Amino acid sequence: MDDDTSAVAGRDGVSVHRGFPNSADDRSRDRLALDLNRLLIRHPSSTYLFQIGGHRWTDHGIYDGDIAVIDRGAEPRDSDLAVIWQNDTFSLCSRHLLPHDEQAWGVVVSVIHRYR
Amino acid sequence: MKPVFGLIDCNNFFVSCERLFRPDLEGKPVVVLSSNDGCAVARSNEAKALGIPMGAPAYKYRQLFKQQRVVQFSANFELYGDISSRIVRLLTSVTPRTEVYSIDESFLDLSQLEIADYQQWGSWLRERLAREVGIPVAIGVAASKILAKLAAARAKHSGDDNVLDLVHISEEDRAGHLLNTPVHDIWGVGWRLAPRLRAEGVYNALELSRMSPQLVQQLMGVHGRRMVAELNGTACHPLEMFGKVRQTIMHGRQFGEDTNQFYVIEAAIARLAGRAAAKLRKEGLLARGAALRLSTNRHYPGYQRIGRHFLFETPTADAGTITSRLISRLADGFNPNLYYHRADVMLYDLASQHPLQPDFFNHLSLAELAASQARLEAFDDINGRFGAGTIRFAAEDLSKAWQPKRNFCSPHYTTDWQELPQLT
Repeated sequence: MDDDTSAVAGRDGVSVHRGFPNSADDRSRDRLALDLNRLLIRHPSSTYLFQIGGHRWTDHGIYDGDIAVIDRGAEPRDSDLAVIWQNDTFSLCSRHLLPHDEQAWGVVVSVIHRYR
Repeated sequence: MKPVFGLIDCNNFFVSCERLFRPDLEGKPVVVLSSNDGCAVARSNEAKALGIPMGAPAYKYRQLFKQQRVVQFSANFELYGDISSRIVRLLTSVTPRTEVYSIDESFLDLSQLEIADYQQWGSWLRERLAREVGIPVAIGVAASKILAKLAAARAKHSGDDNVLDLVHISEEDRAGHLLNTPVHDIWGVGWRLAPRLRAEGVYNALELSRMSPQLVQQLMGVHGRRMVAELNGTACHPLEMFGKVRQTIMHGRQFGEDTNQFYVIEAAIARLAGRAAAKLRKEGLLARGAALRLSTNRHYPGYQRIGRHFLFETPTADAGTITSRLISRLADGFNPNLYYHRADVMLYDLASQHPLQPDFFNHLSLAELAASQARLEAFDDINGRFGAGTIRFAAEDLSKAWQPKRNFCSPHYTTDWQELPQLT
């Protein structure tokens, strides 16, 4: 049984099929073709996930329990939300408020909020 | 091509992993304990300075730990393994010719990279690893693996830079580094060989490198001769990409009829790339590069070949990605006036999907590893479909009492959704 619409017989006796082969192997059959990892994570080596604790950032649409995707490798911008280590905890901070000599731990590239 | 090796060696790796999520521990004495919290398997420089030796039994040092406020951790191998694989991923993106020697050391074959200044290159890579992954490393560059290892060890004491290039260096300086390396610190000289060498009056790497070949042969056989050659800058130990992974996968075929039709060629490429990618996955490999060749019939006049190749940003085994990139590369500049006879797709710069860490697993045979890998995949698959814990090891239901003591274990920050670091 074949999924092709037009097959051209090759000289080696094997047919050439039009259309893409089905790339879904066993491990991906339960997943979407659109990979959320790819959407959210540009640099896997330098990306770490954190969980938001508390309500300090509710005004910015960041809620208790949200997952923050933090990239240490992203080129910093002034508009970034940065992660800093302060008073023995990790906290969020607008990057433009950071003193220039202070290095952020990483910057927020996405925040994942789940409703249910 | 002259061999050049780089050794990337993570400084006090387990401690560095703990400090990544506890920046307050920077500059403080830290030890990581293993085996039921029985002995120290990693120490920060500050802990080393307190005289805590490698493998120090915890019970003997409890007093000192308390007095000096040494921070203790139980080994969190889930965390260390994850951080290690991030480092390997980054290194593999620099060059796929990477040998993962242990959880905290990798050799890179630099001979095929165009690097003008190894010192500068080392600083660049070191800075990237520190900033992106968050782990400090020392880097040694030299003409052989034993020298690269020696260079990395020396680099740790070379002030702020932590990079040592033994390739572009004066003979005098090179000799100085060898002179300052005691024999027992040379890679390949174990605790049994060192006293025998010292008995012959050989105390450091420089003296070993100048030993007479007869005496070396007599004392240490072929192993020793190679070691001396390596110390003198002749590479005897090649880069070992674990399990001798294959370097290329190639699939090609002739068209039924010579064709200038893009869609026929497209279809052929999709099929070839699909088959090549399936083979990749079967062998647990990822490709960093893909190439495509189209040729007209070589037996006819005006024989022509066109080639396209490119590198992926991240190594892949995804047939869809490989196919679409190949086809879009072919689309620009496609010449519809030629009738093509044959297409070949090649995947190259292959890297292992799961770089093995031999030191970490050296009690397992390769066959066992492969079997366990297959088992785990089936396991993942079933649990992925029916919910975590659908299948689990029977022992999990028995008792937790058998678990080793890990009283000071840090959270599994990067491997467990329930233990992510908190952010306020």
